[in-house]
Amino acid sequence: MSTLLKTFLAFHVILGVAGAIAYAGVWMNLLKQKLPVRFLQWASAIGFFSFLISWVIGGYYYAIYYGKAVKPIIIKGQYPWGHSFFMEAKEHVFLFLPFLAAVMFVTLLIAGNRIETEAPLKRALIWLAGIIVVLGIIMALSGVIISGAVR
Amino acid sequence: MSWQILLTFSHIIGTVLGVGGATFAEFFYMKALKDGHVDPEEGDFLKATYRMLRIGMVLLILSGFGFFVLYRINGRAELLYDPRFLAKVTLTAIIFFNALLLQTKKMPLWLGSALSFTSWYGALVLGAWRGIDASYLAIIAWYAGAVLGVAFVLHIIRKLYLKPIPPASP
Repeated sequence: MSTLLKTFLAFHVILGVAGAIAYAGVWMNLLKQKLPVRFLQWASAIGFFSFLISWVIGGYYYAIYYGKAVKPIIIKGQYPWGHSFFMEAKEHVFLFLPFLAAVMFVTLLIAGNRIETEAPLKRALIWLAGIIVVLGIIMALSGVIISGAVR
Repeated sequence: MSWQILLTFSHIIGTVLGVGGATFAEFFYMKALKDGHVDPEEGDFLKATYRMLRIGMVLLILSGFGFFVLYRINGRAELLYDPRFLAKVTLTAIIFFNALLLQTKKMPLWLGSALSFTSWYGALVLGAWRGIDASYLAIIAWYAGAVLGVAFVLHIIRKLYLKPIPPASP
């Protein structure tokens, strides 16, 4: 693996985890009575851009290297489900994450202080943040399972 | 400084903040409840402790995934299926979801504090005990037993320490 691809892989993982952490912060703070709107906007911006960059460089790594060099090793190895189940699920579910994050980021930017007084909107955003965090954690743990199967 | 050393430092600092935070959170909370209510100064102490806990958790998660990347890049993928590593990932996930459930008041406090306390100390023990020879299920079974044991001990300590305040005499 070239240094560029190693760097991309490292950034893909760390930015993906950072995005999930940022949205965990959004989720926890949305549950408060008095919303820290500025914090929510910043955290969702960091989360969104982290997911976006992680998505692009992860896609590059997948298209250039994973399919040719990693996938065959997993398929022939002891844990073929590392690819056939976890990577197949990851590559589809992961497509959603930046879009869900974008919805959250834009809504927080536009609605701002209104969220505190509009209960249905706040409830929907709490659900959205929860879905983003849970999907983010599943993606991160799937990455560990897939990487562990490369032998 | 190599990545390995940087990650090890971050991981240790995260664990220290988490274990220390979990210990002091329990201590301050019990001390605050001694007189039946949490006054503003005690509330500030608790907030600062919870902030340290959160910083510790973020450092632990990021450095943990840093190790994962390092193992993958160095071709040591077998370490990712190591029971000790998987148990640490499980405990970190429990710490995270427990914090979330406590925040939403969906977790009873007796169980939440026992989970937090045991998970942080469990992560510390697993991190330090390099030669541990146990399966993933055995580690998790020991952990589950430890959670119940810690919950019982904390219950006894609370009962002894937080005696009911006698009513003021007229």
